[in-house]
Amino acid sequence: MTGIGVSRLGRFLRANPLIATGGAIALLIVLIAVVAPLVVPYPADAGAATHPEMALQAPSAQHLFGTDQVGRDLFSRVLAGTRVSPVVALFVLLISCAVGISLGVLAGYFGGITDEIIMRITDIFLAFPPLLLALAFATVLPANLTSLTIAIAISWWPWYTRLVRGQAASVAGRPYVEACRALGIPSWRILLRHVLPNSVTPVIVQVSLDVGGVILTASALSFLGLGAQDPTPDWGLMVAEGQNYFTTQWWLVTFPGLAILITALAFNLLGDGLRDVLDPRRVLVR
Amino acid sequence: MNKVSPVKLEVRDLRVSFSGHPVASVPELNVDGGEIVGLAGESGSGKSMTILAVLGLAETAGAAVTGSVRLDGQELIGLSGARLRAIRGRRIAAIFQSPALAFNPVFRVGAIVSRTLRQHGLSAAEAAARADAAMRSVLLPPELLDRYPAQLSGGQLQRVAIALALALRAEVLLADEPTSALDVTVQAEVLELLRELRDSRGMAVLFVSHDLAVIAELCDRVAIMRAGQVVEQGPTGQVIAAPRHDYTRELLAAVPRLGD
Amino acid sequence: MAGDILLDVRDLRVSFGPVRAVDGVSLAISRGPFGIALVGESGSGKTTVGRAILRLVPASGGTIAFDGQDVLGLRGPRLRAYRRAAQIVFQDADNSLDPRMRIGATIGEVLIAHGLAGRGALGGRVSARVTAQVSALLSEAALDPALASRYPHQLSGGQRQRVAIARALAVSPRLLILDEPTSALDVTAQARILALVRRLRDERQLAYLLITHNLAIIPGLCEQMVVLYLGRVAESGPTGELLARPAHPYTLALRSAVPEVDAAARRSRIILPGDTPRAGSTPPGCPFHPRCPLAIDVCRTTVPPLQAVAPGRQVACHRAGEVLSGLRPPGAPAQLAGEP
Repeated sequence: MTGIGVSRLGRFLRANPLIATGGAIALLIVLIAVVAPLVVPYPADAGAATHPEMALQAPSAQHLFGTDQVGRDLFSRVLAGTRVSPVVALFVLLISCAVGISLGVLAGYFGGITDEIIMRITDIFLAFPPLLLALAFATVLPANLTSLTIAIAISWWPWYTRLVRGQAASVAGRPYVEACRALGIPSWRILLRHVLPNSVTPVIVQVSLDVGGVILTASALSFLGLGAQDPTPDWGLMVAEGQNYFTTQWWLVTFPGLAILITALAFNLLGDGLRDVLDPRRVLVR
Repeated sequence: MNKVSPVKLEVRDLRVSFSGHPVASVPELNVDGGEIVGLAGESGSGKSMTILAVLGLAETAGAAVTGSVRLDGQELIGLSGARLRAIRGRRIAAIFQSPALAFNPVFRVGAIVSRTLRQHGLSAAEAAARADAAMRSVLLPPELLDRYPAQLSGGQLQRVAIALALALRAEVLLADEPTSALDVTVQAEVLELLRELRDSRGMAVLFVSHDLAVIAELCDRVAIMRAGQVVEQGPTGQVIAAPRHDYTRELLAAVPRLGD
Repeated sequence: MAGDILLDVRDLRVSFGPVRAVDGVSLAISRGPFGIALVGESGSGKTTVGRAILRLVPASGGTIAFDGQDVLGLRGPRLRAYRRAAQIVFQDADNSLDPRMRIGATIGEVLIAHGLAGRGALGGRVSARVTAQVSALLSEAALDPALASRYPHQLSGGQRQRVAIARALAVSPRLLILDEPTSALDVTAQARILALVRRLRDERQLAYLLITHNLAIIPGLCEQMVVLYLGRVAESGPTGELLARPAHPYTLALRSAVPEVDAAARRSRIILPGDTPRAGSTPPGCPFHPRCPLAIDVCRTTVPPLQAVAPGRQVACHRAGEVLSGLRPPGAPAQLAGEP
């Protein structure tokens, strides 16, 4: 039984290289995040330890990614960073999706005054550039990761509402939804089982594209001192702190930067692949 | 039946396939000038692919085409793009089930007609004159050319498509389910128009449809297709009155009849 | 016999903004087994009538009574109850099934929503009772119960249409509205659907309203027939009578336009000029007069009232009596082939 399952999975992955690649990398990142505290060579460096005498050393056998400006092992910090930025991104996107999708579906399906009210509120939030909005909220909240998450989420949800509402409105007009109404199926059921699943695909793709965006936004805010604080091993913070040393001690910026790049890319590929797979009309590999 | 001109369109051993899977196979089909030949069958029978292959558009859809399609003796299969384009539209015209798809909705109908005519070498003045005359032939006021496709009904658009074929002085008309999406009284009009084209202009018409009753009334000869194969062909009256293949009998039995 | 009437529609009007899609249509559907056809081309309003009966579009006037009870004022649970008694199968079977749901879930959902089969979880897991009922419904619609695990796009057009019928039957309706059940289907699939309707009529004592533009499928399925033109009734009566001896010029033209396979049954064509008009472009006087080959002066000014022209037959035409007696448009032979 398991044998059959594994071979089907194998064929599935071969037929969907995007999901295979993106998924593999994403899985790796999650794995690292889970085991990081046990696996990093210099656990203290991921925290508050400083070794000024070893500052700014180039990559070597003992320090694979070199050391930063206060002597911390960069490799450990980058690995530990998998528990910071991506987690912030995860929560931001979860909150944004929850709020955005719910509002979008309600606005799209019911239309009329419900739609008007929801969309006008959404428009108000959309009028501000996301970074500025997040900035505004971050300044009034204490500077830590939780506030960072909330601040970015507040500026992020309207995009999903807008995205979902259009899709939901289109689905609401489809013959199968009308057929459900004719069959006497209550609205809440129609929303949950028909409108929602058929409106979510654009969001899935958007979410994958946004992972990178959120991480960058978080790093910008951290750089400004409004989010992650030193010594938290946030990738964005590391890039910001390493800027000044870029021309000579290139490793300070490069490795955290690569981490952001690879994470964003992985989820991007995953999202692209998922979008294709989620369309049941696609010819499935059996 | 008087032959107005020699065999216009000759199809021999036409095979259309996708990645090795055959979807249409027509060993022999002739359409003379002044006659309407029907290609009848259900969905998946390969009749629409046959039309595309005759038009030289099957390869664009990803199919492989072998065999021979001759227009007045000239081979069309394998003809280069430019030479095929000169023939397609100009000497062989086609109308399809959904006339709205043939007309770009952002252009006025007349603009599309005149542009097509000019693409085939007519001057602006000639194009206008021919378009006018053609519209009258299909019993439409030429003023309708100033409208957008959305402002015309399905029946009107279909007649404009036929008018275009007339204006181009096409010798062969390929019609793929042209009346399936039309109301029955409008369908009657369009069918009458096709009969007129056959009689007064000696056009050769290949008419594809799943509606056997329409085929029975309109076509002089018919070929029945099923799953990509031609199962029976011959003069319409004969095929209907004395079908030789079981599938033909099955099809005929399924047609609802009003005359009971 | 008022007790026999299941659905009584009187003077129904439906407008979409300024457009009067349905302009005073009355019809009566008897208790099952019974079939009535609503015939018309585009712009006739026939689909809108069907939708209005099911309360899918709001009516702007007239009354609809089901089993003596007013339908137009129903709300909430009573409206839901009505939707168990009267159902509709849409024309567009391809799109009336959710492409993301398996067939079994689509049908099961109806059973669960109406509490017809024990309780199933919200997440979609269907209880054994639901599965059994879904299988029974699929079999009744002449479909293999194994299809329950498939998605709509894996079925043929004819199969999808039958799934739609099975779904409508899930609530055990007494009235079924079939909106163009056979257009977009191959002729063999069409024949199967019609045979299915005939069987359901007998087995379930069903009453149905068959909305169609294809006259050929009506005999054998519907005892009564109503012909619509531009939102109004042109004529109505027993099917056999209407088709053999039409009393309205539009019915004449419609019947003559139906293509026939048998050469012997063919009629000489009455070609109507112009196209079927769009709803809302109603001219003064008789709505049909611009295309009518028998129009006279009064037709252009006065709307013909719907009147009885024979027992059980109503016609809205100033020249109905003449048409009934054999008046034909100039150019058409005195007797069209196929007429007795």
